[in-house]
This record gives sequence, C-alpha cells and structure tokens, in this order.
Amino acid sequence: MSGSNYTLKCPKCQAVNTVRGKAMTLAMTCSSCSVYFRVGNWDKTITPFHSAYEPALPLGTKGKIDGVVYEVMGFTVKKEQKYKYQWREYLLFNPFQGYAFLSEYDGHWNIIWPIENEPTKGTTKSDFYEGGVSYQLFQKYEAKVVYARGEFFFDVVDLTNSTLNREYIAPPFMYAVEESDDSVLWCKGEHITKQEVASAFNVQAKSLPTQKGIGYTQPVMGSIQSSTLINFTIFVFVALLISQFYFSSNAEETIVYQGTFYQSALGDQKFFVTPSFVLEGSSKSLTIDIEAPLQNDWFFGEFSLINEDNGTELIFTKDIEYYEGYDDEGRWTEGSSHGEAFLSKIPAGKYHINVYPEFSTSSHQFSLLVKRDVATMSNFFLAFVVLALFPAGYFIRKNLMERKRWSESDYSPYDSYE
Amino acid sequence: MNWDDFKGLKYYIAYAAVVIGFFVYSGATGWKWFNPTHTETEHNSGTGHHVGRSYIYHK
Amino acid sequence: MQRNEVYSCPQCQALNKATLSQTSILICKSCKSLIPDPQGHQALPDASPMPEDWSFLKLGSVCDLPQQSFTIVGRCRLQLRNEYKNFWCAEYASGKALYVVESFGSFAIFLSPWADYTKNASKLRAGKSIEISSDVTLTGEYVEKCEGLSFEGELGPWAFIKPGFFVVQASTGPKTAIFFIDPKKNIDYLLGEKITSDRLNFKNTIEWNEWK
Repeated sequence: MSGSNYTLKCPKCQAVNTVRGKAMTLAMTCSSCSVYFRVGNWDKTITPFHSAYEPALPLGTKGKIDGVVYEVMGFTVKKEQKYKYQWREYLLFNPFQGYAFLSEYDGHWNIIWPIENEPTKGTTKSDFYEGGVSYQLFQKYEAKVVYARGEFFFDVVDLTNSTLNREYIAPPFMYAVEESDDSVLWCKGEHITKQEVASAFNVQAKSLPTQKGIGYTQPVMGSIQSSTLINFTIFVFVALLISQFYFSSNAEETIVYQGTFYQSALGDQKFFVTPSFVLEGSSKSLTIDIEAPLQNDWFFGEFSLINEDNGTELIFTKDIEYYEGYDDEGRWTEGSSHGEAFLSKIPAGKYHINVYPEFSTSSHQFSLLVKRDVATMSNFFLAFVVLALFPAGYFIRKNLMERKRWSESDYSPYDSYE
Repeated sequence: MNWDDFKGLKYYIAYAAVVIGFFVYSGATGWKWFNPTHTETEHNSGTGHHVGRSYIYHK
Repeated sequence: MQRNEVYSCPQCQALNKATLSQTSILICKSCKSLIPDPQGHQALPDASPMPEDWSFLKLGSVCDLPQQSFTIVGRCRLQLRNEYKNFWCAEYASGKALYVVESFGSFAIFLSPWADYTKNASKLRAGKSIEISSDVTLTGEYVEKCEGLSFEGELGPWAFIKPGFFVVQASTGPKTAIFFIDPKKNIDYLLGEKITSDRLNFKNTIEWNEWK
C-alpha cells in the first residue's frame, strides 16, 4: 500500500501504521504486532487472534472487476457458529464506488456489494422476488471473525459478532442481509470464477484455493438462463413443427407407376420389367409399395430402379411375410402382406424397375405402387430427439447440481421429496 | 430476458440452426435419415433395360 | 450571515465571502478556523479538523443537472461508529442551499429544509416502519452514534454542532430520510432521494487517477 501520509499508532506496540483508507478506516490490524484495534476513541478494545491465515489476494493488490478498479484493503476469516465451517472475505475499495467484498468458500468466489434498497418481498418469509427472479433462502447464520488483517471501514469483529445473516440465492446471483438491532444492510452478490478473480488481480489461478464441490451460487452451465433455454427450445420446436407441417402438406405423392405381376407371366425369364416412367422436378423421395396376397407365406423380391438417362442402378430388396393361426390365447398374426421401400433423394429422369421375385409354393403374384415425393415423419422425430438432447442434458445436470448444492443448506426445497 | 441472455446459448443456437437447416434440406430433397430400405448403387454405361446386375441376371 | 457579505477571519484575517442566503457556519478557507457570526448569537461547534479521506468531491465541485446546476460550498463530515457521512452543502439558484449526502459512493440529495420529527422517537430503529406523513412511510436502515464532527467551507441551516447525537437513516425505494436525534433536543430530519453519482454528473472533482 502506498500513497498515504495518514498514520496511526498501534495502541499495543506503539508501532506507526500507515493508513491506506485515511479517515475512512475505522478498524485495522497492526502491521507490527498484528493485533486488531479500533481507530475511534470510543472503543479502545484490542483484539488478538490465536491463529494466522494467509490471504490468497495480498493486501494492497489492485484488481479490475466489471470495469471498476478495486484495492484489497482487508482480509477476514469468518467461522459459522452452528456448523463451524470457515470462509474468507476480502474487503475491496474504490473511492468512486465505495466498498465491496470478495468472499471465498471451498474455492468458490462471490463478488458482493452493498445495495441501496431492500429487494421486493415475496409471498413467504423464506424467499423474495427481484427482477422477476425468485430468490430462495439458502442459509441463516451467525458468525465470528477468527482472523483479520488490514484495514476496515467498520468494526468488522463487532459487526460480525452482533449480526444475524441470511443469504438468498438464484445462481449466479445472491442477496445477503446482515441484521442487528442497529442496522439492516442488504448486499447483492454474483458468482465469479476463480479464473476471473486470478485475471482481475493478476495472480496465478493455481495460487487460489482449490475448488471443492459446487459453490452455492455457481451457475449450472456457464451463463445459461433456464428461462431463456426453455423459450428458445420452444421456438426451435415450433420452427421444426412448422417445417414438418409444410413438407407433409406440400408432399405431392404422385403415383408414377402401378401394376400387378403374376408368376405365370414370368415364363423362363428371371425378372419382370416395369414400363418406363418419368420423374420430374428436383430430387425427391420415391416409395415402392409391395402388396402380395399372402396366407402363412412369404414373398421376396430384389428390385433395381434404373435411371435410363445415365444407367445408374439402385438395388434394394424387400421381404414380406404374413402368418396367422390359433393357440391357447386365441388368434395370432405375424407380419404383413404389405411392405414399403423408401428411396431417398431420387433425381429427375426416366426410370423403370426390374423386379427379381422369389415366390414360395403358394404365393404367385404381387402388386407394385410407385409414388413420387412422399413425406416422412421419422426425420421429424429424430430431429426432435436431437434438438431435445441439449435442453434435456442441461436440466438433468441442473437438477443433479441443484440437489448437490442444496444438500449444504438447512432450507433445501428437495428435502420434502426425499 | 434480453439479448445478452442468448450469449450463453450461442453453441446451442448454432447447433439448432444446423439441425433445423439439415432437416429442411432433407425435407426438400426427400432424404430419410434412418432408412430401413438398404440400397446399393451401381453405375453402368449402357442405357438399355438390361444393365448392371439386371444384365447379369439377363444373361 | 448574509449572502455576498465578506467576513474577516479572526485568526488569519483572510477574507471569506458568504454565498448562501442563510449561512449558519463559515470556516476560513485559509486557516480552517471558524469565523463567528458577528451578530454573536451562535454557539461554537465542537468540531475536529477535517480529516483526509477518499471523497472525490471538494469545495467548488459542480453538479450539472439538466434543469439545475449547483456548486459545493461546504461540508460537514459526521464520523459515525461504523461509517462516515459527508453532508456536502451546495449553493443553487442564487443563494439557496441543499445537501448532498455521500458515503462510500452512495449519494442522496436533500432539497427540502430541515423538519421537526414530532412522532414517536422509539420507532426510529433499524428494520422498523417509520411514518413521516400519511403518504410517506420508510423503513429504518441503521442507527449510529455520531462520534465526531468536522466542518469546512460554508454551511446552510445546520443545528447539530456537537457530537454525541444519533443518526438514523430510513428509506423506501429512492425516498430516504436522515434523522438527527439529540436526547436533549428535538428530532430534526431531512427528506430527500437516493441518487446515483452518474446522474449527479459532477464536474471539477478529485480524479484519484490511481483508481482508474
């Protein structure tokens, strides 16, 4: 720390301490003997600490957060009085913005600053709404300062000991209120990543505490807002539905060939040849419906769709079978006497189909119905599933993380389900 | 909700745009993504009725 | 003390001109001593020298609002137990005084004159509802004892000149009031509005370049 001629003598060791915060500093620790003392004449108490802790952000370090340059003025280690866990707070200062806190617990950081107005109250005592977002009570605690170093603009030891704290969260944001008989101070906070802290204060990220578990304001996945994701997903599904509706209603389903073939007409030939038919327009689908009057029988055919313009041959097979009978449970059937072959992206041109049939002993005929430009629903369902993967994954992960997050709280909304 | 909220969704927006685009292209060209009808293509220089595998059968 | 009259400092003989229609405290710009009212009907304040702090306002800072501009002419700094409050007195509209109260980057502006609070003083507590009038009810934010007072420049109406009184701030939305409670006197308050420093658009301020 530099740039101040404002000094104070330690009431214990008489060492002269330079006071960075000038007259704004109301309590500080002695740079020589480390005791905590109040600056004002109204309280001469000296507080020693029994343990020493090292701040990850050295006092006097400057850092830029949201475009504001802050200097680290003070460092405290606080201990919750019921569960005895500890966390660390850094008091930051900027002459134009006032003070703010960087709080760190288990390697998770929040930037917290006092706010002018109390947030809007909700319907219950445990929550409230601000900016259309519901904040849930996460913790209520009393704490003590177990260590302090640096300068403070208030008596941090006395205030911490005398206030009841409540924290409400809507990750990555939080509201905190410190209440005592003499004051009600509301603060707003936001999760800040370890990397952002390291980058803001120009320290190595690896020198900051290691992250454990999930932070109580840590967002589920970066900066994604659930409501935005829901709204966008609805928009995407509507767009998909409209597209499918367009394709279904505009599918021409033109019959380009229809005919029946009899085994008796085959003679010594091995295949049937359909008359030529013309497919027009751009690439479209083509379906071949095969119908054979089967009764406990099968029909197999190998088909070649031949483009007479360029000789390209598209070969596919179709096996249809139909069985029926009676057993202990009554009548049963299996298979169908109808089959469909779907051919994708068939370009315009003059075509015919060669059919290489294999008849069984009792099956002797089949019919073909060839249609151009037939819509399919399966792409729609697949696209639906593919598009739902991300939001589904997000909400599954969010649910798991929220349960884990709230397992640290006495006010978990998940407790009632478990 | 404001436009900044969509920044967090940029990868999903790009992904959805690709999927929807692919869906529209497939719908326009009659491309069924998972088609149970398996096909093989053969190219032949002739243009008559008896080409490719048909020609083999025909022989 | 009258506007545009010049008063000689009894300590250093420097001449100080009053700019407010109603100046209650005038501190010599040269030697920082109190210049007593020549009428002689003024109790002497129990004040400490103005300490160094990080406020970016100074005497002569100008607030430029679209409908009005005003100039800072004086300050009373209240040292509270856990905070400080700078009551910056500003001159506007040819001699009128208003107060801009600042603490750690938060600002409130008070155009209305001091008023007496005649309701129940026990309500003036943190977290309690405080009714000012039938249409203004505020919530107490803090109660702090004033441990020290410092003055500089020129102040408009100002009755509390010795530390030891209690300060209560209460707000609802932008509306805010600051009460001064002296057990031996009546309770006075200022009613105004919280405002951001951006909106006040200060000019001629201290730059504090190391923070930029």
